[in-house]
Amino acid sequence: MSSPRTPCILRAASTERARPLLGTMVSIRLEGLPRACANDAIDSGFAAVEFVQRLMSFHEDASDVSRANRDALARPVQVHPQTYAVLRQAQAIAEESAGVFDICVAGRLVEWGILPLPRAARPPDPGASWRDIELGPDYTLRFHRPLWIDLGGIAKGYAVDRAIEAIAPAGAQQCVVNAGGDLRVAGRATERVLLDAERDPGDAVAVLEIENLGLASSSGLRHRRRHGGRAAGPHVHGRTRSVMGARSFVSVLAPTCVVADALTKVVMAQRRHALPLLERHGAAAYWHSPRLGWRAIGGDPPVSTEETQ
Amino acid sequence: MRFQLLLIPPALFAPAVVQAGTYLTLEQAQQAIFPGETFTPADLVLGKEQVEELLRVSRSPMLRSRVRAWKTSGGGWFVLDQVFGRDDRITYVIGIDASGAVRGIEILVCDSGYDGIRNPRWLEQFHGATHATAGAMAGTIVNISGTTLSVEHITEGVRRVLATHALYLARG
Repeated sequence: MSSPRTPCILRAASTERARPLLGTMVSIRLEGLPRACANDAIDSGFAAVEFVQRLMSFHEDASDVSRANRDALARPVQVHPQTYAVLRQAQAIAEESAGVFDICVAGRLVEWGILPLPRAARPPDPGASWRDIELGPDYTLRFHRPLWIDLGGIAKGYAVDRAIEAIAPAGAQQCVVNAGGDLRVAGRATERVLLDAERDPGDAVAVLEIENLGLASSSGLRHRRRHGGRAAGPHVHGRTRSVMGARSFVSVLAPTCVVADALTKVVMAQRRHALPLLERHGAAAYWHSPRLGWRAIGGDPPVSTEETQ
Repeated sequence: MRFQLLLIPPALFAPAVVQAGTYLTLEQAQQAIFPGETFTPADLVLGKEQVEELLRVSRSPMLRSRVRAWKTSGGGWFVLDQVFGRDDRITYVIGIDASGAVRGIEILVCDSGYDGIRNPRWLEQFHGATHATAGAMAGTIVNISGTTLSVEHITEGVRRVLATHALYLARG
């Protein structure tokens, strides 16, 4: 695991900052820019993330998501083009996964106490799904049954992509934006990422080497809880509306972070059966459970470092 | 898109290899939030009653009665604070502008383990060289995926610092 010491001059050109955003810690690291330029570029990256948070938060009353949850049953609600873009992406993946990914699982998450009860919104119809959301012209959406949308399973990845886009003009050699484990790397250098799956002390440590791509991980393990005597957690199967991933860890690699983020939920539910969908998006995944260890879905199998040394 | 998953035997993987969560030094954070301004130390030691009032007003846990604060040349305040999660400790700063609004929040360090937390010299590690070298070990892994750190306790900390500013610093 040792590598040659990096010359100080290169190290001095690295700037990394972190802020609490999107309910987690968002960090941005730039290489190869003077500190003042890097600070400006990082500011623009954080601003892009904050903007997505304002638009798509389930918690903030004035967000597009909260406005839609209040009013879209009664009348078309116009949203920001960025919100609309995320909704379109979410609906496409919902369709491709036959509803395994569904942004309408918010009702369950509220019931389990994972999301707060939205103010002044009609309780959702338990049978409502992504099919009851209509995306209309001029960035409008409308619900055909009472439902609550939550973009928590996709907006973080989208925010990472927007940050990467905002930073690009600064011309950094390498840029890494990491929103609580959903991250994207832009640049030529290989980044190493520790996949923080639950493991016994004797188990191998999983380290991913990546270049120029989006990566998202989901694990129900640390967040599992009980609700009314049954298992609950942040990842809900769109069709069965039951908790998933309570024993597994999933990482998805994709050209963009928004796709990686959304597809973690599909891989969690379908494992290797998610392969066609991963391939359609130029993505691949690694799946882990404490009992079965690591499995590749679409990419090369994991390499044990003893073989390479 | 190129990637490879390496499975490293734990014997070959020293914990020190993972060095996530070391960001800015105190001085860098000052310049990131208040570029070009100068900073005058203005620490405040709260009395028992003041601590109690802050706990009541902010409903946030309080670690120390000494508030690490700087007054900026533009009339703002810069406060260094620490909060604790279940497995982690986050050291961060808040810039508050002359009108009392948050100008910026920057995390300096997020680490696990509580060594030295009661040490009165804890502040020193966030100054200049000591801090910078801690984050720049060669061959370290600085990215982690799969740990979704909750920042709820930062939200609480920010609430407490803003209450401290409104009740004591701004009136000072």
